[in-house]
Parts: sequence; structure tokens; C-alpha cells
Amino acid sequence: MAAISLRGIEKRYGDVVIVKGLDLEIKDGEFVVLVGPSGCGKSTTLRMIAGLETISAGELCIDGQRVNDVAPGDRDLAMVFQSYALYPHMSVRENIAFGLVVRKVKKAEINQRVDDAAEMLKLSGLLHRKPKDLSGGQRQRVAMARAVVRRPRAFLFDEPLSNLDAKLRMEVRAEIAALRRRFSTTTVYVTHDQVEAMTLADRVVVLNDGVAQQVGTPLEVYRRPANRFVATFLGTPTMNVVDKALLKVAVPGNALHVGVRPHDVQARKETAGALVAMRVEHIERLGQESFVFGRVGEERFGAVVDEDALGVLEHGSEVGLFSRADRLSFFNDKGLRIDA
Amino acid sequence: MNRVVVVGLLLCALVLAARARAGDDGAEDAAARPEIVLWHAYRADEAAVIEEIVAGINASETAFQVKVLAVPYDAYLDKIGAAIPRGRGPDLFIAAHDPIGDWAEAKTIQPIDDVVDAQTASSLVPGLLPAVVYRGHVYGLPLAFKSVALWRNPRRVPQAPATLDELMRVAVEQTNAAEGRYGFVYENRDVYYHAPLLFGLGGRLFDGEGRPALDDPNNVASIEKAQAINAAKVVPQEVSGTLLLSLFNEDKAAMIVTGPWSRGEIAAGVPFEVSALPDVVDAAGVRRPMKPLLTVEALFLSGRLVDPARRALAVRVARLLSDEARSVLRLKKARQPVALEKAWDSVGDDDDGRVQRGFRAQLDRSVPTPNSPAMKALWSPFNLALGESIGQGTPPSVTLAQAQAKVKGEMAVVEHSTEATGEGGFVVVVGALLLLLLGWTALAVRKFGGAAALLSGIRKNGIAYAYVAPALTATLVLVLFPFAVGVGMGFFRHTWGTYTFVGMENFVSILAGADSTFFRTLGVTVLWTASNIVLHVSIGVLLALILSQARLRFRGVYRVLFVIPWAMPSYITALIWKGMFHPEFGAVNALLGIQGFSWMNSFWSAFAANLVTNTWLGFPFMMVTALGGLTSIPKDLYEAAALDGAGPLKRFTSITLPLLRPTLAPAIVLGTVWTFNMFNVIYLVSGGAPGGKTDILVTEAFRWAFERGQGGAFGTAAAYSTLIFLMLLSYNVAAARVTRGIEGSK
Amino acid sequence: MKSPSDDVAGDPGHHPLLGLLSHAVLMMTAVIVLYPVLWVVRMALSPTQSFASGLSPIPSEVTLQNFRDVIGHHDVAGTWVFGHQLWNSLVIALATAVTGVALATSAAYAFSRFRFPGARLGMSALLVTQMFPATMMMIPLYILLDKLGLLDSQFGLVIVYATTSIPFSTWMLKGYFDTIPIDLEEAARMDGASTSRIFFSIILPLARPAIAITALFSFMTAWNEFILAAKLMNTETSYTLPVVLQGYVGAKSTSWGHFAAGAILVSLPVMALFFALQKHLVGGLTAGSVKG
Repeated sequence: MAAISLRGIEKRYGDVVIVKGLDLEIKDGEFVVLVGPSGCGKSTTLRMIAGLETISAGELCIDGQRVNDVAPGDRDLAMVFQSYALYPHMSVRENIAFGLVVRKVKKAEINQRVDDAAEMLKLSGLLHRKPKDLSGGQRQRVAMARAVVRRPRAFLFDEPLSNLDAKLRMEVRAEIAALRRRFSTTTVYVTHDQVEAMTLADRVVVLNDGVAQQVGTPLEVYRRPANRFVATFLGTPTMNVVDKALLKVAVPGNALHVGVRPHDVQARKETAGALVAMRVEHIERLGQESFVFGRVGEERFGAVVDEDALGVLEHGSEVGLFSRADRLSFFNDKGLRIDA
Repeated sequence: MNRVVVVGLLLCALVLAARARAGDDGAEDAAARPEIVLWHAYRADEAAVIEEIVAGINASETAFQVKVLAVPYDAYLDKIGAAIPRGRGPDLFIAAHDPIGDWAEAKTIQPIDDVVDAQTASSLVPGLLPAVVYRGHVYGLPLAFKSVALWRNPRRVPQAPATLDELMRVAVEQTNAAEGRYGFVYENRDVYYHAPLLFGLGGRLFDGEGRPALDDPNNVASIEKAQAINAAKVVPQEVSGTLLLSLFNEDKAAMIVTGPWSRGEIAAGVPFEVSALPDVVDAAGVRRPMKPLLTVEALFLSGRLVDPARRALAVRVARLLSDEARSVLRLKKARQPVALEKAWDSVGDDDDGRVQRGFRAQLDRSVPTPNSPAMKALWSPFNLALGESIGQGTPPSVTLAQAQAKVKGEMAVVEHSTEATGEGGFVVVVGALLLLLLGWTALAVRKFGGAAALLSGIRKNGIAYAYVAPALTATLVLVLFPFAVGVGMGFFRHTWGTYTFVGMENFVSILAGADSTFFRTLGVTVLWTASNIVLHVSIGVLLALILSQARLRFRGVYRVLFVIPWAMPSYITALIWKGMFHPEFGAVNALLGIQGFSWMNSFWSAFAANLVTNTWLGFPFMMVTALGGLTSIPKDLYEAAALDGAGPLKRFTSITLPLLRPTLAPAIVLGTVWTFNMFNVIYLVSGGAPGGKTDILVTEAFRWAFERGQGGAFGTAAAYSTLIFLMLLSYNVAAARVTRGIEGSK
Repeated sequence: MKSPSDDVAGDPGHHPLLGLLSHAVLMMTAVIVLYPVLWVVRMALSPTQSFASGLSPIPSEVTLQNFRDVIGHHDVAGTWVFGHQLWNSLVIALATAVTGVALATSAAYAFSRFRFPGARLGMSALLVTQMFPATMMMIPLYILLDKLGLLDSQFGLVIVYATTSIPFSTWMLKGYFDTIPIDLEEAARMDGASTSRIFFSIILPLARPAIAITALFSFMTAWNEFILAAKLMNTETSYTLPVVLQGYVGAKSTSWGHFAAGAILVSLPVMALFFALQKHLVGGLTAGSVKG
């Protein structure tokens, strides 16, 4: 169990700055997800925490101890790699045990701990196999078992689900959540998938261009994005952001743009009193709900539609768009959030 | 895994230490009784008899011990040349007399006029002494003499022919090409076996002043005679020593020309008689005996043996080895035609005695091989001329004139400069070269940002350097010094152990030589290298691909089978391939259904024969390397590519080849370097035929070092080697640029 | 049991015709490879010492005398010379393989995994050492070994042979190490493994195919060499087998029966070694380390 704190952490390769002065306090037992587009510096940050990358500037502390120059193996952290990085020449049992063997844990204890971890991750029947004889999901679970068995101070996950198909991804996500509940070990989790971020995190850190754009609970980040980047990066379909002049709405202060999530916009047949009217260009029927898309000004704009109520929609139908005022976000000329 | 390595290393260290200890004990023992070291290159019966004699001497002598060492013949002269000048050689050694000139000039041996006094000289079979005399001094104590003679199967040829014409009549009768039987088989492309005709027709190797005289009209006449014998088809095509004996063993050769050394290769039950070669009548009607070259095997005292007491012991050993009892032993048991006249009294009238007397009769009709240093420069050009005249029928006047010009040209290169700068010059040049290398390193250091930056770099990357250091240090220490010396020698002229600084002269004479030998040879070398590498790699990769299929049955068996060409010593397999390319008895012509096609008569076919042989020898290495490389390619890549719709060819070019590259590239680069410098196959299969056209650069360098000049034209050979090095270096720099370019554009 | 994922290389599909074609190519190659070898066998089994010629490599008379002569070679004092020489060859070749592979793997690992000044220079330096014709290096090398007191010493031979094999081995291993995912090492570092632990427990087992090849290559470098061995060794009991083989070749004659028997004896250990090593040449070693 550990608190991890990053103070002004930087990573430079020559003149290229990958991570710029990152500050982050991760509390003991907290599950923090670093999310952002590829190249935003999230993996580099995680690898600096792990010790696999040197830290160019700033200070990294675990439980108040500066660990900038501590070797990865001595930081007592466990990492699950995107590629799983299973040792191909070792059996599943040897893979899981390796970290304990290296640390010269007693044999009986190793066996006990490996068996426990394997049982927890439903690997008990596979312990004698080689990684190449496992399915993708099984490999993923071996990678997790390898982390769990060490009982480290913190888990580090580097996009662990990106190589799985959608169905498996959901299962493993649930497993990670379960693990987390069971151990309540501090966890830093890197992903570009916002669903993982939303479902798993205590706190989400949205990164872009090596800078933390917003740090907050998933709901905060989702409901009250700190800037246009966060607003459009999180949520599916993407938040609609349009010039304030295009909507019939009162804006606070010097706000220039108005953002609203498609989920918070209803499309109706009537246009009276609507924020704006829109011609339907595209309809997505997801079964549970349906979205319509069109253009407001030049911008693509989405809204939910209750088709039962609305009757059959067609391309070219005109709809009015309605939203609750408290669901609107406002951004100034720098793209920063303005609160009403 | 690591434990295995450590244990292995420890074991080896222990073994080595134990054996080193054992060696020390031997040395202590020797200190008690002086040990006289005797080297020889005998084998089989002759070696056994020498061993037996030495054992007898050691058993009866208490004052000293003789330590005998049998050195493989091929390594013998080289080993003597390397060891004696450094004081590491034998006290006395047995060798053929022909290098006496070189050895005497280089002080490898010493005059032994005191040993071979009048009494000793008179005890020898007449005619031997001139062979061991050089510049008025006796250098060797003759032990035995050897020359070719006429061997016949008495069932086919009951009576030895008296003249060549008579011999030819019998030979024609005994020839039946359809049955593969021949009347008179000798190696008609080898000067050594041609010599009897040459001297029989009044030819000569040197003129009155000791200058080469290959284009002597009588020499021309002798080759014309050889052409006539060849045209009579009593000789099969492309006779080699191995073919000759196997024909004789199979009763397919009625008469052959060879020496006493072949007795061990005659199959049991094959009858033979030996007599002197017949007389030959020249165009003017003069009748002379055919005279082969005579080799005298003698005992030599090392030039470094100066301590009088020790020298006296060595002389005593020499006397014992050549005394009557032991001469008789050598004559009887080793079947040596011995030099001591008295020993011949013991020769009886049995089969063996008749053969011995045959060789003895030939001795009276022989010419001692000239022992002047110039002699060895003659062999190769003369052989090429002879081969071309016999093989392609080119008039001997033309080929001999070329050979004469070649010898003269080579001598000019060697003797070009005479001004001396003394011994110190060599050290200076090697030192300068090492300094140059250091300077280059310094430049590299500066490029990196100065010594301080380098030092901090070294400290920062300590582990990396620690990992690299052992391998790099070992390689550099053992290579850098020999390399600097090798390059340095290129600026000197070597004359019997002394080096004279000549600047760029060696390079100039190679590059601006009158004939464009260098550039033509370079072209052949490049072609040789390129075609070999292409074949080795493509065959190797193809087989590796096939052999890495999991479903394939017996793949383990095939894999092991296919490394045999690599595993087996190439000396024997290359010669088997040479035999397979023989026009009449070879499997290749039989398989292709062509008769009598001579592979060695044109450049392209001789080149192809070399190429096929070397490909057979070379593909396993590439196959094994490719097999290893293939293991690093994950299978899912193929599946992914297959899903993407890539066909087998596309998969090969877009996955297999690029991913094979990291492991195959070093094999190709080094394979190129090795093939470029590989002359074994060429030496053994085509021997440069026709007319030296299939020689490559290293063959030339080799010839300069060992066949020409006064004690080896090491300067020219080193200059050749330096040029080879520079070419390979620039090829690799260019190749690296190109690959980097390709990688960059990806 | 072989899993289908063993099948790495050409992946020639599973067409029955291709299997047939594969066997056809292999059979043909086997014939070409074996035909000359059968001649060696014939000479080895023949009672005469002459070189065999003709078309059929089937011996007419068979005897093991040549093998008995070669193996049973004793000197006058009754020392079993062949035994000594076989032992020398084995010790020298194995020591060369172990030394060469050990030095080359560590160097190649550094070249593959660390970025450090002089890395490129070092790699090129190794290559450059192979370019000067060996013939001209012999005399200086002899002088050097003399100065180092390594003439007539097995240790000297091992050092020279290992040095000769290092450039190829290093290049080969470096290329192979490059294909091993760096993730594996990072995972091991996270697990707390030291650099040497990673090297021995992760890298070496994964590089088995390349190590097998370099071991074979280093072994062969020493096993077949005779020019230097003949020049350096000064007692018959310290000769290696190739020197003994060369000893069957005289100035103008050769004991072909003995030579052929010796050649077969010399090549057997190499084939045995390759047979032992070839199981490491099966594919897909790094497969399974990364995603599904």
C-alpha cells in the first residue's frame, strides 16, 4: 500500500519534451487512470513511476520517499504490460513465480501464493502450459496473476485490455474491478479508452501533450470538463461544441462556445422553443436508444431521439433540439471552462 | 543454463592447467638429459621406421634423448620457416633438398662440410652429393633419393621398352578407350612428370648464367612430343596422381610414371615392375635417356644450432640415422632407396629387390632438381604453359614464351629496388601504422566530444563496456598487431629474412604491371564471390524454409544429413568433386550424358566446376543460419498477412525476408569476405586452369608469398593482401550505406 | 507432441502438393549431398590406400582396417596417440565454443541493448578483422604467440580460435537479440531481476537458436583447423585430429584409405553435435510473449 506523488515530473529526449511538469498526488489505495490520446505522455509517465524511464526533472516519491534513482525492482511495484510480456520459455507457473523466485521467497510459500493467485484468476488448470498455448484472455490473466502474486505496494497497468476483443475486454475489466475491491492496492492505470477510465477510476487524469488537462472523479470530468479538449475527448458520441451565436441560449461572461453532450439533447418534431433546429443527416439506432446527427452551422451535432414518441424519422426530417440548461458547458476563447 | 557454462569453463580451465603441468614435468626431465629435436614429414612406413630407429637410439644412448616430431607435409616448410628463425625449431630435420638455396641464404640451415667429409661422401651412392651442395658448401647429409621411373604391369608389358618409340608401340596396343584401358599413363600437365621428356630432348630450365630459359627450343620440342603422345590417346585426359594409381590398380593402365612414394597405394595383388625410363630420339636423330628430376632427402642442421656441444650431439644423431644398420632398416622396412652405397648390398633378387634396383637404375639417368632459389618461381608458369598446350593444343612456342615473360616479369617485380634502409625501417613502418590507428581512434574520440565526454560516457555506460570489453580486447590484440605487421610488410622487399624499405613500389608494380593480371584477377574474384553468395544464400534459405515446416517428416534426419558437407574436411570432398568433373571417368559427364567434355579447358566450365564444388561446401552454413533466423519469426504474422490476402510469395518477401535479415545479414557479409579470400577449392579443383584464368586474388597473394622471390616475396604478397583488405573494406562501407539508406526510406 | 504453432517459417500452406514438392527437393538435395560422401565411405572401407574413381561408389571389398589403423595409432612407447589427439581436439573445440559463445553473447547483448558511444565502431572493428587474408597474418601471429609464450599450448590455440569465431558470433547474436521484445526484460526488471539475472534467465534461453548456431560455428572453427595447429604444436600427442588427417597427405602421395576413415571420424562428432543442437532450432520461441 502506498501513496505515490509526482512533483513537477518531466521527461525530455534531447529537445523534445514528452511530459511537462506533471504534479499528481495519488493517495494510498486509490485507483487513478491516466487517459489521453496516443503520444500524450501517459505511458511515459507510468514508465517513469515504474522506473523503466529515467526522470529528467522533478521528484517522484513513494510513501514520502524519493525514488527517482531507485531501480525498478526495488520500488516494489508490479506492472501489467500491454503486450503482457510473458516469458515465452516458462510455464504459466514459472511466469507467475518468477518475481518471487528472484526475491528468494521460500519455495513452499511461492507455491502457495502462485496457487492462490491462479485460483483467483481462474488459471489453476493452466499452470503447466506455455504462454503460446493460451488464448489472449488467458495470457492477460497470467500477466495479472504475475502482478498480484507479488503483493506489491502498487499496481501499474499499461493499456492492459487493448489487445482483447470487446467482449473479453468487458470481462477482464470486471475482473480488474474485482481485484481492486479485494486488495484495495494503489493502482495507476493507463488507457486511451474512456470507458475503462470511467468505469474503473477513483480519479481520472486526462493528459494531452504531456500536460494534465484535468484531474477529477470520472463524473466530474464527464460532467464538468475543464476545457474543450477534455470535453471532446471523453464521452461517446463526442460532445457537441458550437459557437454560442448558433444556439438560443444565455451564456455567462465571455464564453464563446457552448458544449452539450448528445445524451443531454433531445430531438423532437416541433422546433418551437428549441435551442436550434437541425436537418437530420444520419440516424444511429442502437436498440436501446437512437441518435440523430446533423449540422449546426458547420459543426456536426448529435442528439438522442425517442423514436416511439417521434414516429419514423427519415433523412432530411427537420427536428428541434432541446436540453436542460444545467447540462450545458461554456468555454472561453482559450477553450477553458466558464461556469455560469 | 549459466551453471552449465560456468562448470564447462571451470572444467576446461582445469584440463588446460593439468596438461600445462604435465608439459612442465617433461621439460624438467629434459634438463637432466639434453634433448635433440628431430623433425620430419614422413608418413606411413617411413615414419614408423624413423620412430623405431629413434626409439632404438634413445634406448641405447644415455647422454641424450632424441625427440622426434612428424609434421604434416603441407605444413612442413612453413613450420620450419616460422620456427627456426625464432629459435623454436628442431636441431635437425629431414627434408627434400630443393629449398636448400632459400634456406642457406636465410641461414635456416648451416653448412656441414665437416660432417660430410671425404670419407662420408665416398660412402654415398654416386650422383647424390651435387644436389646438397649450394655455393660450394655441403648443406645436407643425404639419407635417400627419389625420382619417378617407369612402372609396368608385367602381364601386359613383359619387357621394359628401350626407347620411347617402342614404348609407344606397346602403349597403343594396350589402349582400348571403349574399355577405359590405357597404355601409358602419366601426368602430362605437370612439369615434374614432363621433365624426363624435357631433359631427354636436351631441354633445360636455366641458361648458363642461371637465368630461367623456359622458351628454349628444345623445351618447345619436348612439349610437342608430349602433345604427340597425348594425340595418340594412350593417355587419358586430365590425368592426376589419384587417377593414375586407380587405373593401374584396376589393371586399366599398362605403364605409368611415378616414384617410390606410390608403393603404399598399390593394391595388394597388383603385379608391377619398375625400370628406368626409356631413351628418346630427337628430331636430329640424337638418342638420349629420358631423365627425371632427382630429389635427395637429406638431414639438415638448424642454422640456429651453434652451441658446439649440442651441435656435436646433433651430428651424432645424424650419423646414427645414416649408418649402415639403420640404412638397411630404412631400405628394407620403409622401402626407401637409401643414400648409403653399402646398404644396397643387402638388396636381394626378390620382387622388392627388383623394384629397388629399378629406382637405382633410374638414379644414373636423372637430373638433380636445381636447388637455386629461382627454381620455385618456375613451376607455376611452366605448369600453366604445359597445361594449356596439352589441354587446348596451343603451340608450345607461344605458351612457353608467355611463361618466360611471366617469370621474367615477376623477377623484375621482386628485384626492382636494391637500395637498403636497414633493419630498423620495418619497425618504423609498423610503429607508424599503429600510430595511425591510434590517431584514427583519437579522431573518433574527438568526434564524440573529447576525452572528458568520452570518459563520462564510459562511466555512464560502464556495464555496456564491461560486456563488450573481453570480446573486443581479445579480437583486437590478436588481430591488430598481426594486421599492422601485415600491412607494414607491403612497403618492404623481403630477401631471405631481411626487409628493405621500398615505399609504394610493391603497390605500383601490382597496379601498373605490364600485364593487367591484377585487374583481370579482380574481375574473376568479384564474379566468384557474387555467384557463390547468391547460390549459397538462395539454396540455404530455400532448404531452411522447407526444413522448418513442423509437419515435415524426417526433418531432423535431413537437417543432420545436410550439414555433412560442412562437417567433413573439405580437402577430401573437394578432390572427389574434382574427380567427378573428370571428362572420362567423372560422374557429372555421365549424368549429363556428354562424353569427353573437358571442364577444365575453358574458363566458364572450369569456373562452373569450382562454383558447384564450393556451393556444395558452402550452402549448409547458410542453411543453418537461416534455420536459426526463422525461429524468431512469430507465426501469427503469417496468419495476419494471409488474412490480409497476401499470397505465399508476398508473405515471403514482406515477412520472411525482412525478418530473416538481422540473422542472415552477418552471415552474408562475412560469407562475402570469406569467399573473396577462399582459395582452397580453386586450388584443389581447377588449380587455376585453364592457364591461371580461374585464379582469384588470394591465390596470387599466396603464390607471391610461397612460390616467388628470394625466400618468399612477402612484400608483394602483403601489398596484395592490403589491396584485398581495402577493397573488402570499401565494399562493406558501401553496403552499410546502402542498407542504411533502405532502412531510412522505410 | 508438436503444436501447430511450431510451424513458423515459410508457412507454405497445407497444400498436399507442396508437401510432395518439399520431399522431392529434399530427396534430390540428399542425393547430391550424399553422392560425394559415399565416395569417402568407399575409400574408408576399401583395403587399398588409393583414391577411388569411377561411377559407382559401392565398394567391392569391405574392411574396417583403415578405421582400426587410424583409431589404434600408438607410438613406439605404446602411448595411444589417437586417444590423446581426439582428447586435444575435443578439449580445444569445446573450450573454443564455450569461450567464443560466452564472449560473443555478452558483447552482442551490449551491442543490442545499450546505446553507448563507440558501439557502431566496435561492431565494425569486429568485421574488419576478418578482411585481411589469413595467410599474411600467420607469421606475425606466430611471433605474437611466441612473445606471449603461447606456442605449443592448447590455451594459445583456444584463444586464437575463439577470436576468429567471435566476429561472426557477435553479429549473429546481436541480430537475434534485436528480435527479442524489450518488454520481456522490462517485465523482469519490474520483477526485481538484476541485469545478469535477466541475461541468464530471460535472454539466453530465448536466444537458444542463435546460441546453438554460434556454438556450432565456434566448435567447427576449432575442430577443422589444421594450418595453425600444425604450425604451433610441437609434439605428436598435442596435435589435433585435423593435423593428423593432414599427416596422411604426403608430398606426392596420400594414404587415401586412412584419410577417408579419418575424415569420417572427424565429421561424426560434428554431426552428433548438430543433432543435439538442432532441437533448439524449432520455431516460435518468442511467440506467445506478445498478444494473442
